[in-house]
Amino acid sequence: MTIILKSCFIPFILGFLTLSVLLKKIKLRYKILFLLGASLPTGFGICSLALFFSYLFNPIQAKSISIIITLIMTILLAQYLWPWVPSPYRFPVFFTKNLIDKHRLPNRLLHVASCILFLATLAAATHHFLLSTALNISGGWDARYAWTVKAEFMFRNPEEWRRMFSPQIFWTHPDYPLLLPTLLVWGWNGLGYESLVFGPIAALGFYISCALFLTWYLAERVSLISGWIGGAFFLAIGHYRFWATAQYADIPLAFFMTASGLIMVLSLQSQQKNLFFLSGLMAGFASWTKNEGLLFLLWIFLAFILVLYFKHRGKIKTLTKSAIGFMLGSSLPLLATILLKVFLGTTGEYLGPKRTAEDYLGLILGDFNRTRIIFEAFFAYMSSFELWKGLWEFSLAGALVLGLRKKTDQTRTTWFLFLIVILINLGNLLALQTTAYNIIYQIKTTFDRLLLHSGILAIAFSFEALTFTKSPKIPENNLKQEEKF
Amino acid sequence: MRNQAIPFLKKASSVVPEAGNAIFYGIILLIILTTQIPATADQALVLKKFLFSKDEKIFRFFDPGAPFSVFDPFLPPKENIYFLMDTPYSPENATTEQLQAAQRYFTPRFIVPFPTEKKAIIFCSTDTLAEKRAHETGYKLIHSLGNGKGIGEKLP
Repeated sequence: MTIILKSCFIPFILGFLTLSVLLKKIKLRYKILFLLGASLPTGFGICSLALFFSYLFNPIQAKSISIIITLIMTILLAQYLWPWVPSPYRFPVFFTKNLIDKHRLPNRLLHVASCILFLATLAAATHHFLLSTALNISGGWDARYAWTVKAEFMFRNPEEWRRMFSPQIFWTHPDYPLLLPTLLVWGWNGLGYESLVFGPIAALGFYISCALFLTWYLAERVSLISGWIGGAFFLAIGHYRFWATAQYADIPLAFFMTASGLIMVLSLQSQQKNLFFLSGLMAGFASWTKNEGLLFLLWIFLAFILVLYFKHRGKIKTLTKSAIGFMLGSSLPLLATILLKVFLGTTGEYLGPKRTAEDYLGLILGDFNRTRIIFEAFFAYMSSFELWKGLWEFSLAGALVLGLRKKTDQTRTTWFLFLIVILINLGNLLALQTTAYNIIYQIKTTFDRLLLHSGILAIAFSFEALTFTKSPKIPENNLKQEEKF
Repeated sequence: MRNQAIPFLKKASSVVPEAGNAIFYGIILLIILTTQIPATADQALVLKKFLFSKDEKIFRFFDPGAPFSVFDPFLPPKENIYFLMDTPYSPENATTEQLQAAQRYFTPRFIVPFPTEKKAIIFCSTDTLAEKRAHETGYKLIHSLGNGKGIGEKLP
C-alpha cells in the first residue's frame, strides 16, 4: 500500500483541490462521486504536464522543479479553499445529504441494493485486474516497448532525454503524445526507482475512475440507482478491463474523452464558464494522451459551438465566452502536444508519410473498397456481444426512443452525447481510411481498441435515453446556484 | 365507448415508461449478473500477494528486458549496439520484439536493427545460424554465450 500512497497521493490531492476550486461555486448533486472519479486522472494529467515542462526548461533539475511546481500548486489551491473546507456545515452537505436521497423505503432499498451490486462488481473487476497484472506485470506491447522505453530515456539520462525522439527507435512513435511516459517518470521519481508496479497502479486508477465518473454522471442526470447500475454495467464489460490490464493509453484516453463530453453536457445546460473550462481541460488531456485525442478536441469544440449557436441564435457574446473558457482549459495540454509535434517528435510515422492534402482527400473519398471494409469492421466488432454486452444495440435503441420522446431541455442535451459518439467514430473511420498500413492489419490490431474511446459515452447516452423519468431531475438553473456553506 | 377508452389509454400511457424502465434495467441486470470473470492461472493468486509489497524483485524476472542483462558486461557502456537476429530486420518479423526488449534493457543506448555499429548482440536460435548471419553482415563472434547468442564485433 505504501507504493500507492507514495506515487498517487500528490496527484490525487492536486486533482481533488483543482476540481474543488473549479466547482466551488457550482451546485452539483453527488459532487463527492465526481471528485472521487475525476481527481486521480486530473492529478495525473497535471503532474505529467509539470514534469514535461520541467524537462523542457531544465532537464537536469526536472525532478525537483516538477515536485516544487506541484507542491506550490497544492498549497495555493488548498489556501484558496481553506476558509470553507473546515466549515462545520461543509462536510454534512458534502458527504451525506447529497449521497443518499431521502425517498420512500422501497426506493431506499433499491439504492442500497444497486450500490451493493456496484461495489461487488468493482471488487470482482479489481480482483481480476490484479490477478491478470500479477501474471503479466509489463502489460501489452505499447506499455512494454513504447511508454516504458520513452520513460527510461527521461529517467535514466535526463540530460539527454530528447534522444527518445530519435528515429533510431522509430517503433516507439516519436511524435506520439507523452501523458503515459511522463506519468511513469513521475511515479518512478516519487518511488526513487523504475517500478514495474506503478504502471499497473496508474492503469487501475484510470479504470476505476471511468466507472466512478460514469456513476456520478448518471446519478446527476438520471438517478442514483441508474448511476450504480450504469457503473456496474461498465465494469461488467471485460473488454475495458482487458485493455486496462494491458496498460494501453486507450483507457486513459477514454476517461478524458468521457469526462470532457459529460461535463460539456452540463456546461451546455448551465452555461457555467468553469464547466466549459473543465471540459476543455479534459479534452486537452485527451490530446496529450493519444493522437485521437487531438481529433476529439477539434470535434467537441466544433460540436458545442454549433449547438450553442443554434441554442442562442448566434449571440456572439455567449459563444465567445464559452469558447474562451473551453480554450483556456485545454491550452496547457494542447501547448505541450503542439510543442511535441512541432519541435521534438518530428520524425514519427504519423507525420512521416508526407502526403499532401490532395492525397488525403483522394484516400478519404476515392477508396470505396477500403470504406466498405471499415464499415464491415464496425458492424462485426460493434455487434459482438462477447466484447460489448449489447452496448451498441442499446445505443441504437436509445437513439430511436429518444427520437420519439417529448423534446425537453434534458433530451436535447442528451443528443449531444450521441453526436459526440458519432463524431469520435467518424474520426476513427477517417484515421483508418487514410492509414499508411495495410487496412486489414490495421483493423486487426487497433479496431477493438478504437471503439473503447466512445464506449463510456455510449453507455451514458443509452442509460439516459432509455430511462423514463417523469420530469428532468435538475432544473436548468439549479446548476447556476452558488453553494452555501 | 370513446369516453371509456380515454382513461384506459391514459392509464396505459402512464404504465409505458415504468414498463420501459423495468425492461431496460431488467436486461442490464441480467447481463451484469450472468457475466463471468475469466479464470486465471493458479500462480496468479500467489504472485498477487507480492504486488504491493516493498520488494518488486520477484517481478523483475518477468521484465522483458531482463534476459539481456547477461550481454551487458561485454558491451561498451555508452555506444550504440547492433542487434543481429535470424533474419534481417523487418517490422512484420516476430523476432523484432526481442530487439525492442533489448532496447528496454539498454536504454539510453540505442539498439540498432542495421549493421552499422562496432559491437553487436548476436541473438540467433542456433550457433550455426549465428555464425552464418554474423558472416553475412560483416561481424565476427568474439564471445559466445551458447545457443546462438553472443557478442559480435564488426570486421574492419
